[in-house]
Amino acid sequence: MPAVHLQQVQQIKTMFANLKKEIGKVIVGQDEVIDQIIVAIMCDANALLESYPGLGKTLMVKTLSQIMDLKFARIQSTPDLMPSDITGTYILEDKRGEKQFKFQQGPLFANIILADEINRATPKTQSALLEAMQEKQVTVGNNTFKLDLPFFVLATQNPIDQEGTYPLPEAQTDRFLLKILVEYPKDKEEVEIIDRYTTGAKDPGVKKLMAKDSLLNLQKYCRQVPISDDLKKKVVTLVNKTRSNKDLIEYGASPRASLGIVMAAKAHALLNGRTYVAMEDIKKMAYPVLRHRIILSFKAEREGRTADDAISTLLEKL
Amino acid sequence: MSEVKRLFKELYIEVLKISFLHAFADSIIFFMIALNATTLLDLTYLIALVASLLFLLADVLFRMKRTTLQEIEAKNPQIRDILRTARDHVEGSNFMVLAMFEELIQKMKSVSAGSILKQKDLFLKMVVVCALSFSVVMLSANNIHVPKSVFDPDTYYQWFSNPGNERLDFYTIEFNESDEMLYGDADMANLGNRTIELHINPSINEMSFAQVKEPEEKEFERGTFPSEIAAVADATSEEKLPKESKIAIAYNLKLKEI
Repeated sequence: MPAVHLQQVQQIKTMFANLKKEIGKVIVGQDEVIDQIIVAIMCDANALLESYPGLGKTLMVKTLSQIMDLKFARIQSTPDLMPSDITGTYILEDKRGEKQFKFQQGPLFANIILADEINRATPKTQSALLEAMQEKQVTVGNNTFKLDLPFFVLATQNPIDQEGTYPLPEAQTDRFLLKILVEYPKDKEEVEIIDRYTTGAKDPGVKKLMAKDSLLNLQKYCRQVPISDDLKKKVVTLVNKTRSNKDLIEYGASPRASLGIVMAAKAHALLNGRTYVAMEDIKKMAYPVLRHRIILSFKAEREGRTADDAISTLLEKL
Repeated sequence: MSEVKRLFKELYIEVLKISFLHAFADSIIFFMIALNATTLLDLTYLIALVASLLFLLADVLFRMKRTTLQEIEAKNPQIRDILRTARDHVEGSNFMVLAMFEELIQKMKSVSAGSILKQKDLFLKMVVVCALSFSVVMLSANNIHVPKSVFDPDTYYQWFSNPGNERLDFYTIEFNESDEMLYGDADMANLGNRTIELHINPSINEMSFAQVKEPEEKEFERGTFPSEIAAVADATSEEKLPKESKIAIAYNLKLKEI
């Protein structure tokens, strides 16, 4: 029996390998971050990016949108940013002597949105963005406008300079599938960045490797990746442990975390050319899915432990 | 989907075959041990045979019950996740599930019966069987067996009741009236100092071929039986015995009277 379906999965793996290679022309390193962003896109979900300034977040997302042939929009959040600034508003238009209101679409009407420093926007603006993320639609006045699919929001937060910010409450951060940590590049990578961007060399440019319809199909296949009952139980056990281990974690994750781990694991498996979810996918995706959904206990914080340390401890016992 | 179901069925049959092989090896070892025991105890080999057949049956049933997919997964960890996932989605038919079945079929080709078979265990079992076979052969050839008196409480009683005995002798024979049937009259053991000389005269059995002549033609009449070919009653064994033999017999009879 010819392995037709398996061949197609292998082609998907090759395509993603080429995609990462294409991004590598512009972005140096950050392989983990790119993988996790792609996982979030394939899960048709949103991601929260926590990083210090100047680590190439905007360039990364912009490059990715070019390769995937998706419309890109950037929103720089400030305290005076209004909801209508991002959703769009009605403007008065003079057409052939007749004045009429016309809806001017805001930056939300793109496929990939980079909401920079979302913690600087007011709660009202944050809510407008979160509504768009959840419902894939925007409500302005009495009208509701559907957003173009695929729709993906990458919100960023700066871990420093927290003064005058409106940190997202846990109930809102729970809506992001992943919290991706962007680390500083290694020395070798930083040298390469200097070589690339200080010599005046031409922008290499990237090719379009994926069409919008292909991405929608991939999102459909991602949901179809099978997972064994045994692994599902392990995921539930892991999430339950976040609630029961009071020495380490004050507040544990909700069932949304269980869904998130399974979805992200499926996407990670497909990204690596696997037709099923393996334990390594669960272990890999547990960190970005859980780290923003748990609150450490005072004792753990006093010991200097991080959310990732707590997750590692729970995974060891699994 | 039916391909995967057939695959699981074949896999299960393969594991059952290997389980039966191990059960058979175990029962051979059991038989050899039992045969060693029956040889030592001077019992019939049928006891060992029946016991080992019962053991084989019990072992096969036990292994069949124990044989599960987990055993195959334990032996082949590289396909553990995909095996479990396929088992849980055996009725699935979407794109990714079909791709998974195709991948499973490809990976199963690399899993041979050898990876499930515990070759080292089987080899050790064969070595044990050879050693036990050698043991049985040596016991039988040298007629080594545990004397029945080991299991006779009287033997130990005699030992305890005779404080002068330094060791427990399982081979001591006592001559008493009850042993007459087995060993004969005790006095028969004392033959005396007389020397008996026995000469067997072979001349009785000599045949002379010098006097052989052609048979004469004879007419036979009905009702009569020619004397030449008639059976002649030979002398009784007692009449033919030489004189010295008769003396020996008389002597023994006399001893018996004593």
